[in-house]
Amino acid sequence: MLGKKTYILFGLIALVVLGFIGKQGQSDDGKIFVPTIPKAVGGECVAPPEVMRKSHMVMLKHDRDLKVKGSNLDIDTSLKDCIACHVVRDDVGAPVSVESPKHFCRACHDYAAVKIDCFSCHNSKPDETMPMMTESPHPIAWTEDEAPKDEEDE
Amino acid sequence: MSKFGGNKTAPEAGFDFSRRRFLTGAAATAGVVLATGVMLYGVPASAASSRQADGTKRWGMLIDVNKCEAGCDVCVHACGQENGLTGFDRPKSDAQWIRKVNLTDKATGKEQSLPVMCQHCAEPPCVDVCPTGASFKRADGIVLVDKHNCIGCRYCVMACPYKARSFVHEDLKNQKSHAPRGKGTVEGCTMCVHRIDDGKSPACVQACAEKAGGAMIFGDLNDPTSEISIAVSRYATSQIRADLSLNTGVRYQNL
Repeated sequence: MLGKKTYILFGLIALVVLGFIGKQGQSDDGKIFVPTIPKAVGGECVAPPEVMRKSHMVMLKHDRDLKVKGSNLDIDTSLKDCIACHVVRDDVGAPVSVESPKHFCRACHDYAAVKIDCFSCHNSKPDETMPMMTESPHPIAWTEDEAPKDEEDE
Repeated sequence: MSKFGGNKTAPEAGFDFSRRRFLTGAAATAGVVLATGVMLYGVPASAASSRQADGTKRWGMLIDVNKCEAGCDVCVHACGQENGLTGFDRPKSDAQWIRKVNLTDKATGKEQSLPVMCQHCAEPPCVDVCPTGASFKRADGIVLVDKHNCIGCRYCVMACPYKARSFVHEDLKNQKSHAPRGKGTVEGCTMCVHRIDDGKSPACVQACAEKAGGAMIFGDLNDPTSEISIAVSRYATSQIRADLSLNTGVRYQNL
């Protein structure tokens, strides 16, 4: 009979503790846990946030296939521009790599528990020679209806 | 265009969602006034707007072996620097996109030195053997690896008679953004495709002209007025392992 009360007690303690831990990642209304997403340094993104959230990986894949195979050399939206615009800097002002949990991509990917393979080949930091981005090099390129759908992929 | 290259060169361009980019970018310069995007549904967007790897071109190099000094490795360094080829000081497994080869004629004792890299064959064996289509030839004759599709089987490494392909054995960091490379994939000379697409010549050619004997000429073998075409039509040039009939894009003079 020791069990029931003890369990309830532990449960209550756990709730309080978890509440404290979770506080960092709470949304404004304090109800939902959300990742803290670093702000980009450039201006407008290539598509509205709701499109990017859903379809960024399909966009990257589509453009990369065209560019790598040489079917469209004019494509100017590339992963390296994403990286340059969404750069996160550490305390001394150096860009952080994907090894840091502060990295833009990791902010969401850690939260969603989705592994990123891009950075085993691609650099997760902007090139040292690349000028720091202050405004977006691209106008809005996709709207929601035009964004590639997941079904097209695989 | 070879039958092999033709098959594996490029996927169909003109996906639906490049339409918007066509609207905002190229359409404006072409002076087409479009009230809505509707009329563009019938138009293959990329065919109308985008620059592609040009199938009428065949990029190639001519290397004058007489002008190439033994002991000079300016081209090798330039390549490493341009493409961020960092090694682990393990020559047997480190990536090697271009290397210097020294030859001695046993009968006469004549010594020669020449750079050897991917020869950008018209009939590339690496493309023939690739099980995933990662190894491919671009429309303009440049042979590349699409590392997104490479599974690291290394068939191409075995198939290449020039030992031009390397395998990345170890985790890499700080790659150049124009030359992504990573563990588990095969790589080789890209003829500095990122520079060619910007209208520049490969890093090795430029470095050789600026810092060494100017032994390398780069250009379009299909254009009869280009420097390289004039040179190959005027002088006797040869291909390495011409017996394999691979029709290499890299040719040698005085070899």
